[in-house]
Amino acid sequence: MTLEELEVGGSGRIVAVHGQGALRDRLLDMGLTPRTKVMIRKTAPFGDPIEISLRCYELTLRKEDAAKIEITRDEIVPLSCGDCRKCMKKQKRFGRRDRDRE
Amino acid sequence: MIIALVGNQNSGKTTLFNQLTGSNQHVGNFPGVTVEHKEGLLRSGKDIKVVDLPGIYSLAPYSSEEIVARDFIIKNKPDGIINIVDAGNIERNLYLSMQLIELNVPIVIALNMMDEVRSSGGTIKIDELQSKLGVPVVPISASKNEGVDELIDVAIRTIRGNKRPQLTDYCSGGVHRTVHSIAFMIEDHAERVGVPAKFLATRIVEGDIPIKESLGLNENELDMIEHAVREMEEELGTDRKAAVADMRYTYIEKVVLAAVIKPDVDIHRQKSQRIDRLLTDKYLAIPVFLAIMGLIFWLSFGVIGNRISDWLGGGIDFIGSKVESFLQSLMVNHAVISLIVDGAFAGIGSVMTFLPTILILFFFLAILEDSGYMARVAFVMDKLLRKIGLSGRSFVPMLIGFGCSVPAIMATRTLSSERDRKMTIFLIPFMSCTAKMPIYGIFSMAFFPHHAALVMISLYVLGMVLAVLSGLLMKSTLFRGKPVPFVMELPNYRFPSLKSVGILLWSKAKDFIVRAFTIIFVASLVIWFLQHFDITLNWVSSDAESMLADLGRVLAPVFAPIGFGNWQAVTALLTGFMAKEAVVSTFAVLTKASTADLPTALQTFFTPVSAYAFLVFTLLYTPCIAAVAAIRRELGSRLLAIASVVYQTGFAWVVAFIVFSIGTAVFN
Repeated sequence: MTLEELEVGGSGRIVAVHGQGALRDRLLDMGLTPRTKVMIRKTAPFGDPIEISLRCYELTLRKEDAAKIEITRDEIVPLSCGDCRKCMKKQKRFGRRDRDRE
Repeated sequence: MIIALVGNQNSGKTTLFNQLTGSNQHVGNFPGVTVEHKEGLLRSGKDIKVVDLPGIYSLAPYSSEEIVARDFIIKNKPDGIINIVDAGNIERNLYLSMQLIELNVPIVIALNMMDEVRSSGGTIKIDELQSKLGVPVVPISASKNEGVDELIDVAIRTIRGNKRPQLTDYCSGGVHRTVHSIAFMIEDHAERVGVPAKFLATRIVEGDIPIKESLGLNENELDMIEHAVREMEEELGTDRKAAVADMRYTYIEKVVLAAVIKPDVDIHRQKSQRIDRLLTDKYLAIPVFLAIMGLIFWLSFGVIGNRISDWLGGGIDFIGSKVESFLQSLMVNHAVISLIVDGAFAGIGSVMTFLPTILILFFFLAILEDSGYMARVAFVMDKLLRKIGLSGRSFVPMLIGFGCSVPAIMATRTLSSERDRKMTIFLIPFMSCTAKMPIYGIFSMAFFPHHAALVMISLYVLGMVLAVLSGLLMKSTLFRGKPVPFVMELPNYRFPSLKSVGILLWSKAKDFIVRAFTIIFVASLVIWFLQHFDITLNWVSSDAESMLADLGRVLAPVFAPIGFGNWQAVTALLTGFMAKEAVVSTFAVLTKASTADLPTALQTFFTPVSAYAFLVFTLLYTPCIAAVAAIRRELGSRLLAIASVVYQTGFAWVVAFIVFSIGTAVFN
């Protein structure tokens, strides 16, 4: 599946960044390399672009570009959003250190 | 000694630059290209120059800014590099560091925002990081000015001692072999251009064509390189660019795992996400944005700005009248007095009164920018701007255009693509600036006393609608090029550094004052001259005999089809080129009417229909001289500045003609 198809709150790992040219280079430079964990944080008010989390930071990109990023969805419990009380408790309980990468 | 300051956007580079140099800085152009950069002398060493390069994420060239930064590093060969790294976002920041380390020049890493990491409960083992990266690492907090002295010490020692990075080999697997075999192959060429062979080899493997070409490799060598890279791609089952990026990140992950203890919860990031729940909320984002902008404009143009502008205007008028009476007491020739008072003082004064408004507007915009909110505005608005071929990043400058085109045009510097930048600059004049408000006000009073608000709103909306149409037109003609993809970091919200904002405001004020006393000064004198002399260079008793009036009469037929072929209107438009509010003052001078009588006096020149056509024309015609000068400066091209004048004026004529024709058909 592609990053575009992932729902808000869902996470996955990058398999490959398709396409070519400047955009692809940029995405790779920004850290969207294979095996990197990404999570969809939100969609902009008008439905596009999207905000994603990876490597401990937030990035925005358009859906048409996200469609070129192939991922595998994480089947385990979705990553904590990190900002609601419930998730923080869960993090403490399981001693999870890093939300983005394992 | 020259030190380049290199780092990602949002890594606190400008703040560090301000700490390193204090106020010892000036804006210069890069050799050969008109992309501005800042440089300054190190505060504790007079002979050491620090060059602030544009924020970049990688040495691969995408935007013109990045090409400039890369070219400076590779071609100008600074003696050393200070690489600023955001400790809270260390993984991605180190990607650029890896590329810089490959350059094999003395480099020091300034690990910024260490205070934030510590307050979140995380830590970074500096020794571990140093030994893994092979370069000195100094933890700092640029905003609090912590560790900056030590950074300067370490940087000077490293660069004076010409200490190169110790990290010699971090590449792995298939890429490793290919890089080494290519480095071996191009060793002679690399020596000739004075760049490490391994750096060049890595870049060639990555597919950096300009670098490959600059080496002057022969056909045979190129073939061999291509073959080696193809082989690597086949072996790794991926392409060259991804393979090299993956290799760097793989090493960075190892470094981070060993040296960085991440906090359980990054409180700064979490705080940002909380703020974003409101500011980029599906329903609230737009209302909140409108409220913030409304408040800023109200404060800049209404409450604070207007008051200070009024004081300043009053002060300038007061000095002007004092100077006038002083000169009269000395029995100075009345032409000279008129030149000084009506020419220089009136001209510069009318522009200088805008200075406080512009500075206050800039103050708020700098705060929005430094806090990280602008990135969110771009995120929210991207979808809308895409329809006219721009990206979300163009939204902010256009918004500023409603205040004044000059700061708006300057604000386009933040745009990464030259194409977007040009197009945005061309569209900014469509946003009706505040200097046009007095014109709308007076004309509404004279011709549409019962529909003043409607007339004003219709003009603002017309401007925006035409900007959209114009954007669509440009997108399908002049700027057909590919829009730059919208990939942008959403940095954590931060409290803006007041020192940085202060330095920014000071440089803006300086810029503006210099302009007022150069371009505006000369223009004022020219207009004054034209207004007071006839073609035989004799002093005229009434403006109607002046060269300006003659010029107005020559041009009047051009404006006859759009309803105002009288020389007074044309003259007002001509002076409006200097500053839009001069349109009103010119009418006042030409009709010799007091402010209260002006609306009635105007009725001799216009019918309601031609008055509206005139308003439409003033809304759209050429940007004022200050804006044109800004366009010229920002685009580095006189031709494009002239193009903007011609385009706007032509557009204005056509639209005013349509309005006048329809209006005449309907109402007569």
